[in-house]
Amino acid sequence: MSTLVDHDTTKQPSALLSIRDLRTYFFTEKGVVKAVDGVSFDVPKARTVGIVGESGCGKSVTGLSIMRLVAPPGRIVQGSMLFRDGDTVKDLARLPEPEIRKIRGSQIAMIFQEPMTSLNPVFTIGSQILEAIQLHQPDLGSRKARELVVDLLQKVGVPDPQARRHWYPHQLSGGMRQRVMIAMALSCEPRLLIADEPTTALDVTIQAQILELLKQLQAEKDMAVLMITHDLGIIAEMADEVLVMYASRIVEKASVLRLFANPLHPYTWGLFRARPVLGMTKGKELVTIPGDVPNAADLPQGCKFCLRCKFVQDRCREEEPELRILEPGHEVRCHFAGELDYER
Amino acid sequence: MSDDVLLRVRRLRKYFPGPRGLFSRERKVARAVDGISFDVRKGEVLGLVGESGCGKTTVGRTILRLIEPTSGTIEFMGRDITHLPNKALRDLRRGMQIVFQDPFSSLNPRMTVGAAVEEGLLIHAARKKEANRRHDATSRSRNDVADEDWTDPETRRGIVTDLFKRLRLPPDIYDRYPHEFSGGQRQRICVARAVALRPKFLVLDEPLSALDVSLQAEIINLLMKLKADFDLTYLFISHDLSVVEYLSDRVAVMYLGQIVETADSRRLYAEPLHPYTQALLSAVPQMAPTAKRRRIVLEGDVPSPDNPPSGCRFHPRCPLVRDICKREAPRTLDLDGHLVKCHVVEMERGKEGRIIADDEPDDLPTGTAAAG
Repeated sequence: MSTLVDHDTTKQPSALLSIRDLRTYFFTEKGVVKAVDGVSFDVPKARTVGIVGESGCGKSVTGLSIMRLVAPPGRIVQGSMLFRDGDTVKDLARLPEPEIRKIRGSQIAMIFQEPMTSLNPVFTIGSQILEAIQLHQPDLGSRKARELVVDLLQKVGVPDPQARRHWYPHQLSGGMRQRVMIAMALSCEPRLLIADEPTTALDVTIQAQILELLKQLQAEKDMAVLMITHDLGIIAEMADEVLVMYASRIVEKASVLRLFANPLHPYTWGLFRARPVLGMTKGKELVTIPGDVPNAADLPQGCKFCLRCKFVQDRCREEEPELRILEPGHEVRCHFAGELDYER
Repeated sequence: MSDDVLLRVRRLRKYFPGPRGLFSRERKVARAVDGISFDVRKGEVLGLVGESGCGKTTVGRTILRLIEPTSGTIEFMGRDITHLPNKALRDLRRGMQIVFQDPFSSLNPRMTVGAAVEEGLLIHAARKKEANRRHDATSRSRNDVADEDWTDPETRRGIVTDLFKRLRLPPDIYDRYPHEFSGGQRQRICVARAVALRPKFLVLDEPLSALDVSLQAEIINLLMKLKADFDLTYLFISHDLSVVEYLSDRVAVMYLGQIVETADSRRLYAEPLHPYTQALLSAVPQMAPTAKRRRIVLEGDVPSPDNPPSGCRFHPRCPLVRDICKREAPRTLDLDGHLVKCHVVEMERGKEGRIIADDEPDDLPTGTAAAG
C-alpha cells in the first residue's frame, strides 16, 4: 500500500536543509516557464544528496534557488527552504537580501561547472580567495587571512601555493581553477556545499582528482553536499540520497543503494540502460528513450514523461501522478511503478 | 600490404606554431600530433580515445586533409593522399566524411536541412556523371550507387528523404531550418549529410558529447545500423571510455600527441597494459555504489604539448616511473597485436613480443586480422 508524501511545512526539520514545495518560475515574454515545480527534499547534515537529470530538468535552478541567485525574470513563487543555523531555523525563501548574504558564501557555498566564468580574470587567485575570507570573517587579521589563503590552496592540492596565489586564472588549467573555486567555497567552512556539475568540463583523470578531493574535504569538515550532475556514475560514487529530476519535478527519490538496485520510474530505468557501462554492456542493445528532452515551457498534460514512456497508458495522459512512497525510503512519481516489467 | 586496410597512417606529425614570445623571436611549437602510426581496416570501428589536448581531433582532421600534416603519410584505399592537390581532394572527400561534435555550429542556419544534406550531392553530381560516362572502373568500384544520377533533382531529393527516414527523422523536414530542431535531431541531420555521398569511411569526432544521455543511445544505435547498411568504416574519436568500448572493434589510446597503446577493444579493456590506460580506466566513475576499488589517481595535469616532457611523455604523472623513463622515449612493443609504448612493460614482457622500430617503414602488425 503506497502513501502520498507528506508536504506539511509546519513541522520542524531535523535536516540541515529542508525544502518543501519549491516553485521557481521564469516570467518570459513567451509565457511562464516553470523551471522548478513543486520540489521537496531534505539535505541531512554531513551527507551528500545527488540530483541527477538532463539539461533543462530544473536541477541547476534548484541549486540557484537555494542560494537565492535566481535572476529575473526568474522568481521563487512558492515554497519554503528551512535552513538550520545553529539553534534557529531560517526560511531561505523568505529571508531578506541582507540576511541571505550573510548565509550565502559563509554557510552555504556553491561551485559551478565552468570555473573560468566564476573567477575574475583581472585579479590573482589569492586576492579573490582573500576577498571571500575578509567579506565573511572581517575580524580575522589580514596576516591571518593571507595565511589561510595559502592553507586553503594547499588543502585543495594546488602545488606551491605560496607562489601560485599570485597567479591569474588564465595561468591555471581547468582542474586547477576548479580547485581554486573549491578553496574559495570552503574558505568560510560552509555547512552545505552546492556543487553544480563541478567536473563536467574536466577530463576524466582530473575529474577523479576533484571527486576524491571533495570526498576527503567533506569528511574533514563534516559538510553536507548537494551534488548536481547528469552522470549516474558520479551519483554512484558520491551520493547517499538521490533525487531524479525530470521536467521540473522529482520523479524518483531513494537512497543510492536502493535506486541502483531497483530503479522504479521508467525514466530512471531508461537512463540506466541508455548508456554503455564500462565492461558491462558491450554487445548488448542499448535502451533508447524516444523523443526529446522536454521543454519546461511546453509540457504535456498528465504525466510529464508520458510522450516518451514505453509503458504509457490512458491514465498517464490524463492524470499527473503524485510522488508516492512505494517502499519505505523509495518514492516514485508514476501510476504504474512497481507493476512494470522492464526486461520484457 | 594487406588488402583489408582502408586507411593507413604512418609517422603522422602536425606541429602548430604557437604565439611568439613578447621579447623573443622564437616561436614555440605545439606538437599536437607527434609521430603516430595506425591502420583502420575495412568495416571496423577504430576508437581513438584520449583526454582534451591529446591531439585526437587533430588526427581526425589531418586524415581528411582539413588540416595539412607537417610530415608523415596518409594512405586511403591504397593511395597516398598526403600531398594530393586540392582538386583531387574533392573526389577523395566523397569517400571520406566527418561528423563534428557540435551539431549547433556545424549546420548553416540559413540553409534548409534538406538543402544542407543535398549540397554534397549537388557538388559532386557533375563530376560523378562524368565519371560514370567514362566508365571509370576505379570510381565505379568505389561506389555502390554508380547508377544514380545526382544531377537529377528528383533523385537527390529521393536520396535525402531516404536518409532522413533511416535516421528516424520526421518525413516533412526537408524544407525546415536547423533552428527548428533539437540537438539530437541536428546531430542526426549531420550524420545524414555525412553519409549522403555514400562514403566508405567516416570520422566521428565526439558525435555524442553535446547530447543528453537519453538521446545518445539512439544515435549510437543508428550509427551501428548505418554502418551495416552502407558498409561503412568508422574512426570514432571520443574522450568517453564507456562509449568507445561499446562501439569499437579496436581502440587506440592517445596521450600528448602520441598513441601509447593499441589493441583489440575487449583485450584493451580487460587487460590494459600502459599505466596511463590503466589510470584512465580506473578514473571512470563506476555505476555501482557498492563497488570498492583501487583507483589510480594521477597526479598533476596533462602537460602542454608545446613543451612535452623528456623521455616518456607520461613520466611526470606515471605511478610506475623509473629513471630510464625520464631519459629515453619508449619504443613500441608488439605483444601479438597488442601495441604498447612503455619502458616498464617492455622490461617485464619485452621477450614475449617484438619491438617495432620507429623508422620501420611498413606493416604494423594487425593482430587478429587475416593477413592479406
